[in-house]
Amino acid sequence: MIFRRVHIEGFGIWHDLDLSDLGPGVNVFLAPNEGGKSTLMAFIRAVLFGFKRRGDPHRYEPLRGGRHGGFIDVETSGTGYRVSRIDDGTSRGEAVVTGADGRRFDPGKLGSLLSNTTETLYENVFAFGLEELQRLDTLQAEDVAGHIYSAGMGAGTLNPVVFRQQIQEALERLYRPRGKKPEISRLLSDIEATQDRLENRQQNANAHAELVRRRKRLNERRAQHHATLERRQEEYEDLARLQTAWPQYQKLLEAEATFEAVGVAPTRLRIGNVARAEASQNASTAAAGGGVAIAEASSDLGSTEQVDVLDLMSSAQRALLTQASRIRGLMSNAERLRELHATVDARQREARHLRHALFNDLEEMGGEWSLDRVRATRTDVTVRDEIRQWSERFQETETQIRTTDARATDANLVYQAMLENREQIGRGTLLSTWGLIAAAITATAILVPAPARLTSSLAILSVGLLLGILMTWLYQRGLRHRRSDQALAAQREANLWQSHNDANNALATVSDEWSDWLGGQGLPRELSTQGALDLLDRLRQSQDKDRRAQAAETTVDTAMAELQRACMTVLSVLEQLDRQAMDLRYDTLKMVDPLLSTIGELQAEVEAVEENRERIRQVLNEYARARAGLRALAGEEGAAEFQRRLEATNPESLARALGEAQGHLVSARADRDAINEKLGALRQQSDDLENDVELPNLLQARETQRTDLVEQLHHWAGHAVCAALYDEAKRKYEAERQPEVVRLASRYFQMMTDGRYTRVIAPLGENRLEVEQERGDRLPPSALSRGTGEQLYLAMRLALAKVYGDQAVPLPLVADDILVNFDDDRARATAALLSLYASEGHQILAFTCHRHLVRTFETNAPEAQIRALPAHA
Amino acid sequence: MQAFSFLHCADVHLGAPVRGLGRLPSRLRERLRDAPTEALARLVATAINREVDAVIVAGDLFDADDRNLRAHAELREQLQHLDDAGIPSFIATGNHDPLGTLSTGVRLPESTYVFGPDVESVPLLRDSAEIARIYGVSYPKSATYENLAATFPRNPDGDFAIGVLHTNVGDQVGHDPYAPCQLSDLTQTSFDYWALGHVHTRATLHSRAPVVHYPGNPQGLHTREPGARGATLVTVDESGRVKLEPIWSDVARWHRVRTSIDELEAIDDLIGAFAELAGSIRGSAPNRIHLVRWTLTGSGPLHAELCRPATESDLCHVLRAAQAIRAQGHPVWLERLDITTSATHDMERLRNQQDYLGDMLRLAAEIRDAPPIPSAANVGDARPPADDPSGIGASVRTELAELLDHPRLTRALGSDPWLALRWREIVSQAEAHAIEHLAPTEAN
Repeated sequence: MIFRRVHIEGFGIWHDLDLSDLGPGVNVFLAPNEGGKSTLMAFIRAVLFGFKRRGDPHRYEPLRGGRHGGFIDVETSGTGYRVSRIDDGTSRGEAVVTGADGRRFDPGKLGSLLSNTTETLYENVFAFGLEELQRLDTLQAEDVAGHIYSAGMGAGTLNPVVFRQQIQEALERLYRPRGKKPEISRLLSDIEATQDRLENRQQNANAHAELVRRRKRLNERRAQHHATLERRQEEYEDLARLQTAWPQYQKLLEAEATFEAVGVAPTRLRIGNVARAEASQNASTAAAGGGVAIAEASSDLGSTEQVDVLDLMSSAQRALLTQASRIRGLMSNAERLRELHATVDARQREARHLRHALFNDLEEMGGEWSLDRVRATRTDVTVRDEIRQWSERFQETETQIRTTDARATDANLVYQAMLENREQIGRGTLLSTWGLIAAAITATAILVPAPARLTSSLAILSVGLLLGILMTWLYQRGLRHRRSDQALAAQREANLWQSHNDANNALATVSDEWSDWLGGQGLPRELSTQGALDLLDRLRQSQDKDRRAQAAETTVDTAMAELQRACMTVLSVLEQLDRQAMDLRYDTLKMVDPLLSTIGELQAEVEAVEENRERIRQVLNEYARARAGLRALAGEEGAAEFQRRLEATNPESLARALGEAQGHLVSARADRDAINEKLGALRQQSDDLENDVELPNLLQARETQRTDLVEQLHHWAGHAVCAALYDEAKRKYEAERQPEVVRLASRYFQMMTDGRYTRVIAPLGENRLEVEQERGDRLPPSALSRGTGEQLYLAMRLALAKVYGDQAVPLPLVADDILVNFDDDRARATAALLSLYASEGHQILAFTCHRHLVRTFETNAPEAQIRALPAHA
Repeated sequence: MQAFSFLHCADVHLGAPVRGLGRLPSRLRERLRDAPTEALARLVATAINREVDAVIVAGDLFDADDRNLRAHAELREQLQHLDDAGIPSFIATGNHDPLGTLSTGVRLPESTYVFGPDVESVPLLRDSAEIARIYGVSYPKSATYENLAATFPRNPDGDFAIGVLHTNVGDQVGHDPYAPCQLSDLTQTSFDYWALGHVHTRATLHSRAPVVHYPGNPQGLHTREPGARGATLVTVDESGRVKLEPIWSDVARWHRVRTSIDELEAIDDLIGAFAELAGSIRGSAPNRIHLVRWTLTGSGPLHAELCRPATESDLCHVLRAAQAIRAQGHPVWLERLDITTSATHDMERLRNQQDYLGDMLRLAAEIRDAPPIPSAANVGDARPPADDPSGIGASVRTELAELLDHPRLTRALGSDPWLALRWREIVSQAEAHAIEHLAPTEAN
């Protein structure tokens, strides 16, 4: 579309203005400031799109008369139309399109002529002045921007820019070079921390090796210390041994002194020659009786020498000891000897006394009684019994006599009494009987010789009594039987008298036999039985004295013999002992005291010697024990050397040395313990290090963290690759898929700036522009100078107008003083561009108030029509 | 000759931490920490039970860099057990435990023989009579790149000659090229048996005399060492015939399982699938810890759920907890859940769209098979891109270099961070990000 004629009836300052014969190319109108350029532009816009609302300063009510409005003759594709708009009372006014033939088109015709271009688009793209050129937002309106930015984009759920931002945010959530919070940064820090700990732990291998080295060194030191310790221990033990040996050594010396005292040569006993202990000890126990066994040095274990204790004693002592048992025997008899001594005296006296009494007895008994006769006479109980039997025979016989006599008398009396007074007779008989008895006794006492008198009397008495009793009994009996027996009595009386005579004859026989018997016994024949008994008593007493005297005499003889034996024994002992003999006395009894005293002395000597021997044995035992002990303590060192060392020291220096050695030992042990402790600690440490699971755990932890990191790295890389793909696609888009508008604008801008700017770019998804300099640097429009910015926007408008023109309708461009901020070169280039642009079918109405710009057009756009706007009145 | 037997092991890596695992329950962590030691202890116990004549170790008994004193002490302890049982041990060191790296504080038993830096031979004795001769060489330093095999005599002495060497035979990919040699260097000799170490996967490179054998490592140390692990009991009969018997010693066994979600409707199905999987894994070797890398593939209704940010960690938690309950000391531990499922997007269509998302996806396709790894000299499958017409490789490298080239990161990982990247996964992740937010909603 081109404008052929513009006619204003009344519009602002213009009244009845007519611009006809407008060219199809560039039309330059020169007018001074306030020359009505803007009003003219407003008029064109008003005709095409309607008046501004009332009150709007751009409504341009006519100031100088004429109807408000006018018309524009346009030509499209060779067809002419008139578009007129007169203020008809409505706000916008109605546009009327008429053809060349005056035919009026329907109201939609204008829209189709303008391809429904909106007023905004028109204002932003086709009709602009300096003010619009300087404002980016005039290109951001939706219907304009769509042409610039939206081509070639998909229809995704997200705006690409937002998408890219999200990708970026995701990337930055994962990693920012100096960020600490992003996941990867955090993981890196974690791994580094683990790594630090790991490296720290890995030093353990060195520490362990060092520990092992230290252990080795310590073990070597321990070996050294062990040697020292052993030496210290040996030293200490050696000294302790010496100290332990000291008392024994002392005992040894004492024993030796004792031996010396008893005359034993110490050389025989020195342990310098002595080896083994136990043998000696055993032997000494075994030899307790006689001596002590002492092993000699050079000899072997089995060979020991028996040291007899006696050997260690004097010969006198030994001799004494050989007699010890005899002396002891004597001594055991001493008491008895003393008793004997005491008894002998008494017994001697007793014997003498008895002999004297016996002698007197013999004298008393008459010359015919010698000691031998007395001794030979039997006085025993048998003899006495026999005598008593004799006595009884006598009595029996006499009794027989008396009884027969009495009975015969009695029988007569009884017979008489029986005749008279039986009772008196009976009593008389009794009394006479008793009287007879008494007479018999008296007679007997008178008749019987002295020795048998008592016996006879008694016999008579007994017989009498018996007779009495018998008579009494008979009396009683007679009383009972008197009457019946009276007849018998006479008979009996005769018989009794016969019996009385027989009895007298018997008595004479007994007396003869008695005398014979006495003679047979060596006794005087005239003795009565009683006398015989009395004589036997006296004889018996004499015999007794004789026996007692004999016994005493025997005792004395025995004692004397014993004493003499003892005496001889003592003499023998003394002789054995080579001593002076004991002073022997004539009187044995007087020897007793010296004998006892000698025995006592000997005994005392023996005891002393035995005691001495015991002591020597003890000393010897002690000596042996001491030697054995020393030998045991000497050990391998050898007793001689050991004793030599003992000789060379003393308890004080030994104690001192021992104290020192103990000190050394304790310190050596402390050293060893310290080393052991250190070793133990080191071993524990190295074990701990070997068993430490922290490092494997850290290795595992690091792997886990690395796994996490790799995972996050993948997330990050996915986003990063996506970002790279996006950016590359965007570059491709910006290089290859820029909208036509932007590509055209690039060309125009490049021309206007003489190649200083090579491209205009609408970045993907963004409603903004960038320009690229010939070096490839991109700048936002805001970074451009005012003139360059105006050139950019001019290029954009030209491009938009061209694209719009190609797509819809090429509307004439109306530009108001757009070159004023261009430098001369750019102004010229732009003028040339506009000329070229116009030649492609785009009419341009350019207004200016600058004559030099008119000249620029004249020079660079030769075909441009240039005219001055008429001055309005 | 006399029949005899020996245990051939290698790459024990005592004290080496099991790698690639996230946080673990403490008991499991401890058991895994001690797993290499435990594995060696099992082997030693077997050696003693089976009354072998020797134990031969072909390098990498421990990781010297870790300076793990406990591992060294444990090594001594295990060797001491052998010594106590009258079994000598012969050790050739490798790149991880070169000569001189054993802690000086740890003294090995008398019956342990460590080969020196030059090939040497020692007799293997039984009742003072030689039954075999063992040749070996140790790494004097970690970075040993000479062909040590070539320094062995070609005609060794002895009725039965054993060569012990830590080497990468035939430049096997994925293994550091330490003391590299060719199989022919070993087979064209009169040795009877080559006891090798270095390659962690059990392999017999030559089964006729000379037998060339890698026993593998006794304990897998990361997910790339799946399956049964152990050592080899080698029995030699009177005629010199060799029989190899694997002795499995792994305490924890790694598994990599892929499951498609195509047929799965709900998370419960997924949980059920894992339970089934865990059951069969546990059944395969009941007395072990099992570490499972589970990769979900395919596409289906679960994808959207799986894509939610917390799903992976929540799901891991649930699956682990469910298994922990029936673990009884030998858990099936979900080591990692890899979600590589995709939405039902028509990727082809999106990629062909002439807009910037299409551009992104086309660029992603360009770099998918060309990891932009700058220092990839030693990485078999990660060469720098041959050509980079769009320059995207360089851009991505630049983008990643910001972090990956950071010395802190290299120090923290202890290795080249670029090598730690699972590249395809990253590209897929980038694509997923883009599609999720930039693809037209109606296509979702």
